[in-house]
Amino acid sequence: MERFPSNPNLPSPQRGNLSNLSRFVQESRPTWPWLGTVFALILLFFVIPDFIASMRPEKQGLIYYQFTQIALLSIAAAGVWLTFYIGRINIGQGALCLVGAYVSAIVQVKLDVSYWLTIPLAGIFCVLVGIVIGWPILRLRGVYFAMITLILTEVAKLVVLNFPIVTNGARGITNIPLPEAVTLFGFTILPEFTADNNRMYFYFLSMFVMVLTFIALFRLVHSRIGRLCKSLQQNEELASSLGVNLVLLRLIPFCISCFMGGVAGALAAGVQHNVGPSIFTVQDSVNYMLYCFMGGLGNLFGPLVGTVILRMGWNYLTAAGDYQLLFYAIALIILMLIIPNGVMSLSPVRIYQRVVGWLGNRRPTLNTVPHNRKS
Amino acid sequence: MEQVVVNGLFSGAQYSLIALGLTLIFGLMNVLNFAHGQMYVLGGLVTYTIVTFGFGFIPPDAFTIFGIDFIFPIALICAGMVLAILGALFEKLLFRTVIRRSKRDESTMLLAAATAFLLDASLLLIFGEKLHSVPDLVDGIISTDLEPVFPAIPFSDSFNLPYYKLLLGVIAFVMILLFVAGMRFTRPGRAMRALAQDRMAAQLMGVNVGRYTMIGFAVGAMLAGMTGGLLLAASGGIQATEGGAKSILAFEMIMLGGAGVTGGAIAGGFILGMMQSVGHSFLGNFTDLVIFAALVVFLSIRPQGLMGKPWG
Amino acid sequence: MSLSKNILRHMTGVAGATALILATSSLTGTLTTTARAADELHIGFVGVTSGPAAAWGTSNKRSMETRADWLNETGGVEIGGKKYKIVIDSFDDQKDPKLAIEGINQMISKGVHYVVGPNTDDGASAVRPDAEAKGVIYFPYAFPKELYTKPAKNAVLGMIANYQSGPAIFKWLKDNEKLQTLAMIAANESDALSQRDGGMAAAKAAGLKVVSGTVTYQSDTTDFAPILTPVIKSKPGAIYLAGVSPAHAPRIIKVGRELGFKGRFIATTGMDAKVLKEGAGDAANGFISVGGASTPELASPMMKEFVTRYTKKFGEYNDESNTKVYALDYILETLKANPKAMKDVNEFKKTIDSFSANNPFVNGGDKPNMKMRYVGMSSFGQKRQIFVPMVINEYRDGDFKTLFVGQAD
Repeated sequence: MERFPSNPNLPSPQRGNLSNLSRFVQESRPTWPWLGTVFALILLFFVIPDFIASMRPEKQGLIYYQFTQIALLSIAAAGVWLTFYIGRINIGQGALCLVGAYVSAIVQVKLDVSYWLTIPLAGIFCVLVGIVIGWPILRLRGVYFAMITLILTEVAKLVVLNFPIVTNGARGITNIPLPEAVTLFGFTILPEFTADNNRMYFYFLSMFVMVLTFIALFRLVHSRIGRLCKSLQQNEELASSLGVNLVLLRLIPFCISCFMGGVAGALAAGVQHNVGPSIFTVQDSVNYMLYCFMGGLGNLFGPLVGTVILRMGWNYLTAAGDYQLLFYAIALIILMLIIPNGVMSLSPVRIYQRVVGWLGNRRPTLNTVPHNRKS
Repeated sequence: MEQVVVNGLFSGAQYSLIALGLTLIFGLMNVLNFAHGQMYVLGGLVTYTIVTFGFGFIPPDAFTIFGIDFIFPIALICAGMVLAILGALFEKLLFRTVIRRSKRDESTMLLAAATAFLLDASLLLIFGEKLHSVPDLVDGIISTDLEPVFPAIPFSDSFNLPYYKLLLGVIAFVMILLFVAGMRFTRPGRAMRALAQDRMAAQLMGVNVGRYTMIGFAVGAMLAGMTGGLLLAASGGIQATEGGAKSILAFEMIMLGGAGVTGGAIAGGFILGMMQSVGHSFLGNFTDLVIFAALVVFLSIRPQGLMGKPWG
Repeated sequence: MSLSKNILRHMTGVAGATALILATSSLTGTLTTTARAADELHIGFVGVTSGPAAAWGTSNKRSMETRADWLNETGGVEIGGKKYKIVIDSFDDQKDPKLAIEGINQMISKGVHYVVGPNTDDGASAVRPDAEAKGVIYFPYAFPKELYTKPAKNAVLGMIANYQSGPAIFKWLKDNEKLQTLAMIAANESDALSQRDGGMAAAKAAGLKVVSGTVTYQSDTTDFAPILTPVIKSKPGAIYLAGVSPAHAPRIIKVGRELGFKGRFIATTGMDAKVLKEGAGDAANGFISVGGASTPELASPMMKEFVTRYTKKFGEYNDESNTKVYALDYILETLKANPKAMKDVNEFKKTIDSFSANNPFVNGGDKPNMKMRYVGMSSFGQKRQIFVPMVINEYRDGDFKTLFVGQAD
């Protein structure tokens, strides 16, 4: 594979980033999503909780919390993946998460609104923010877009710190109540969260939202808009010459991405019972991008897989003590050298072909001698 | 006002140097080098080590000739060399492979971030988290104390500039000039400019793409390292953990000036330095917010920055 | 020099850690429940030991490890008639509140009831719900009062807060040096900004005029001339560096002097004399900071031995560790006083009110005003702070000289 020219005048070239697996997903659309969803639901809502329930009670909180974090981060990372899908590198998702967390916290504490309502509210507010920032900056491309989004997180933090009347400034909002029960006609639809059970309930809540997120993402990618976005990724000029409304087409996925960020933020505010300016930082924004890269940009489950691998890997490396970051970095570099297109670019079929090809290549080398002699 | 302008110019000179190496690597390879700040810190710490401890068996004061201490320039050159080698190795062993094998250019960002983590972790382990500083290069200060320079003029205020800062400013200026001249008049410089302009055309014209990309990466890293050494002396020291923030700062500057363009990096650095200096004097705690907002607004009007080509 | 030794040490460290990881990965399959030796007492640390703020947590962690090694070497700690080996479980939260929660949960899962840290305001607030629900006493190095006042239950402040040292310093300066005006700068970060607000209140209470209080800087700033220029122009008698990190202080002081400022710099955080000497030199003379709870006159032979052991183990010493050595001893001494607290933190909280023991780290540690005890009644309305001597230092020619020693009650 030769490297494409990086002529700044040319749009970033597209090199068929559909892996076999995602093509498989696309082609077998009628049955696969339902089967997958059911499987995921069983796994997330029965198998894993059952497994956790078998552990020591002191340990359960930790495991629930770790899974909850993975769910939250992968929701935000899914948003980042969606901006990748329109050919934009988004390193600003942390800003939206921060906004979402603060919206949820402020609305709960100052206006006394139920936590359940603040989740969509935070998402909607982030969509508005997304329109305001996205509309001008989505004209930027490639690294420019990446760099400008990189400073958004810092901007969000400064806004929080410098407008203490609304945000409580440096002290943060520390008295967020636990979500209360929701009853309808005498039936409890949503249980009350208490100090004892909230880790488990937040696990279910965030997993539920995560499943919804990925279903939505799947629907979106396979919709007309999704296919148009894909065309955007390939060649914006060409797409616009076909009469596509570029501004709107870029804005819609970006706003959905912002919505996901906001929801993730609101969930985090609930999980943590408090928010402070450092709840989401530049490091988080960079991490979301890394999760997407690690999982693979060509597959919509990339962000989920990337989050699971990097997050669990990081936790696992706690054993290395002071050398945790060093090992993490080395592992990242090695993974990058082996699978530069992310984990989801590996498909069983491809690996099989590789192995067969590799084995196949061996034998012809023996036959080259007579072949050469003939010429 | 005099002090504010001098502060701005001095910050600007530092910033420009940080941005130059980054923009070179970006222009050549389309790689956003997240590890730039860490390379800068490594350069600073190599300089610190040599200035403070010498070269193992040779103590640092062995380099004093005719009463002039040459250890700092020597350390600076060593830092540049160490970083150049490291940069070349990074390019050859890591970036080249990933660029060749990945489907999207942006995948290098993960690799760059990973190298940044690697350097961060190693630097923290080896040098610890404390601030490391070297003595001032020269003593003395130009100062009007707290009295205005021109009492008759309304905005005039005091003016203080230590000689060592003046000297470092001059060195920084000379380094920028040398770099610009090198890019303009030498053969590798021309080759690298050709590569940055149009990679394929350069290749067709017989430029050895692989070799000059590696040289470019090495020169970029070398610049980062030497800047680290200079700023170690200029900003009161260097800390092993401050690299990441420096990268982001450098990103702001090359965005402002236009990515991949030498002139843009210099302009971006000076403008940002001046904006901060003026801002802190008049806007108080809103300075950074206003600068960021201004940057976003400016870039949405002119996406390619001041001097960049459209869609870099 | 220590650098090559340092590199060597880390190479062996890396090798060791690799072996450890390989070992754990091969063992996790067979040993899912690692049996804990019955005579080990685990104390947790959750704080920041990497990234730009690494200095804060590192001195904590290293103090604890040094002290634990030392105690183990002398046969462990006897609590309730049984000898325990002290094991420090540490977790790096990278200054991220999300990770701090994970850290505290990790401690809970290991059955650790006593945790030192976190080091930041946000981190300490974040771990509060879990710590209170699951029975963990934690010793944050963060100042927000709501962590320690009722209804908060389980946090014990591990040092002197700025709203305790600030008033003392300002009053001293006003009485002894006729200080009239004050300026403040702070980093754009939760901890620093809330310390600035605290300082503002303290200055008002002391009757000082704050001539410049809105200037803030980004925590990645390295060139402080633009930031200090307007501050110095307002001609303050002294500049209060709110929540300043040990790495920023020398830079700020140096630039301040170059810009012509003649007054004192003040910080209410711990500083490092060696770093000040290297980074600012004589410019730092007169810099007032809250010392690491020890002075040459106060330090007992045991404190001196601690410093020696720490320096031997890590190749350098951090003055802040003079304060940070205390947390572990407070935990252990309180457990000794009430062995039931080993399993039940409510017992610990009961003991807090009456606890008192000889202070091994200061000369005259058996005198009533120097004894180890819990304080904080006037600041928090309940005893949720460990007593450490409030040592106000002045930097002078490469060393800290004690300006005065005060107390928080």
